[in-house]
Amino acid sequence: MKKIFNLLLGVVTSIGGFVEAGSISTAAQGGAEFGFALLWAIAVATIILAMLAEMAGRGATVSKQSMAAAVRQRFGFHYQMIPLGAELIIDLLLLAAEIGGIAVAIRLLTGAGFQWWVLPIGLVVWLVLWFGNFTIIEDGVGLLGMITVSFIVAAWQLHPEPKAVATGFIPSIPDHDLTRYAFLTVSIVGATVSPYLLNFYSSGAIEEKWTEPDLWINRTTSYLGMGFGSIVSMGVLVTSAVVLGPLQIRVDSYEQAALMFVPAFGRWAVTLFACALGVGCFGAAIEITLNAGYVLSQSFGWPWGIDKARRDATRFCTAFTVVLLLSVLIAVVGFDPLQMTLISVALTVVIMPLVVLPFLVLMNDHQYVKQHKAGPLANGFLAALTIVGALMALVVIPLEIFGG
Amino acid sequence: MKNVGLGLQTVPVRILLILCAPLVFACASTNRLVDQQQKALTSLKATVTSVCTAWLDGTVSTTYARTALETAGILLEKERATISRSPDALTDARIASLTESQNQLARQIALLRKALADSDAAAIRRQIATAGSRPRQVP
Repeated sequence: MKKIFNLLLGVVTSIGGFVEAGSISTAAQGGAEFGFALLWAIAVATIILAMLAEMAGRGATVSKQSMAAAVRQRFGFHYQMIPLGAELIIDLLLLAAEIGGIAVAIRLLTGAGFQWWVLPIGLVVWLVLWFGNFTIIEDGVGLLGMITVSFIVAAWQLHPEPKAVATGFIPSIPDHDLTRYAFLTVSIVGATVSPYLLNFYSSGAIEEKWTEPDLWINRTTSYLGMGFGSIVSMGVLVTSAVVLGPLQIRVDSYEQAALMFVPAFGRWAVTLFACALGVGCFGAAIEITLNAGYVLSQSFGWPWGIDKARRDATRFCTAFTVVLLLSVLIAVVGFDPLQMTLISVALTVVIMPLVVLPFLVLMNDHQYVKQHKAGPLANGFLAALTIVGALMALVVIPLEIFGG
Repeated sequence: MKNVGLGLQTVPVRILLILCAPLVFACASTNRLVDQQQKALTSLKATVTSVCTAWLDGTVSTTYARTALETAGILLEKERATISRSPDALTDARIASLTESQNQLARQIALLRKALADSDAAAIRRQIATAGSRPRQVP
């Protein structure tokens, strides 16, 4: 019974970190500019994320090693420096964007300039990490993240045409702005398949001490949990398509995005949107900061774990503190949070092959996954994803310039 | 065989093509700029009128409306800066017309912000009416 409860909690709390600045902004932009036509991109990205998360969790459960530690052991320290460096840069930018997202959410409610909030937000994130443990952080963030379900409620209340929504799940070529469409497609994939989510998930499996009999929990959590998060992202896109699309309002700021809640929630619209955005970004900020500590410690072989006494994991604590501090500095300089989100999402796509390729090797390594190796279908998926990821990495920067 | 087809191998044609290439790219780039600016302007106009309409209806707070108008003003400034950097800014009639519309919207945003600060609903109604018909209510 306890396991079932934990499973349900795991599925529900997967929303924490999934629905954040990147997924909200890209889905809102996609909906406002192309109606339901990009729903398929969210669906495909979710399948990719769920499959990778399941593999990361399986590997960590069986080998008791996170992805970063396994890559270091299998490919060597020098190779690991490449994905580590890339992931840290993206973590820094994403974290700055999430902190900016929380600050914008507070600005929507108070009207005070968002830079005033950056330092206090950084401090709150640090305090939660310093005094919290893994269960409190994961469940707390996830349960708070339930407020993002308001995107599904909004979409439901707007009664979109079911046939038109269903058509959005079939990939199509638009009759206008093809470059922009391609850019948003790639951005949605980049916002969904975040490398930090994968390493955080595999580190979480170790923090929660999953064992081989728990592999079914891993499978269920990854597929149902990511699916649940995906439905919220689709809610963002559908709401945006129904409300902002006909008005020809493009989402170039979160203030514009907030208007999508007005028909569904009336006087509560801006408050609910700000809470959903703020809580979503806060959850992601916690997870990204923690992941930065994880990935650095695992790559250098330092003791790590949020449940460890702080004096037993000093370098781990220093690592996440320094990354958080740097991100706060980036955010306080005053880059537009939405622009920073889109840039970090594009960079995520650039490093995608570096993230996916190790899966192909590790999931076929008997030392790592024992008898739980990837089957022909999973191997085919990983090979295809490596190729598609490499192609997307090649086109994303030109697309960012011409369509972003 | 040398001059088969369009005669692209002859030296004058090559030179002509090389000279025309930047013109073609420049024209395409101007069209793209005009298209993007037009869309951005339409979006900002719709944003401003939707925010003000929602404020008049009492759906959104003054704090939000003020912030949203301020952000719309910043976004508009960015668009104006982009268009003023264009080499065709002074010669292309479409860009000139866009610039005029942008200036008009900038003035409107400034007046709306002032009216909002004074909680002057009548002035806001007047401004929206001046900008065009009252926007469609959000569905």
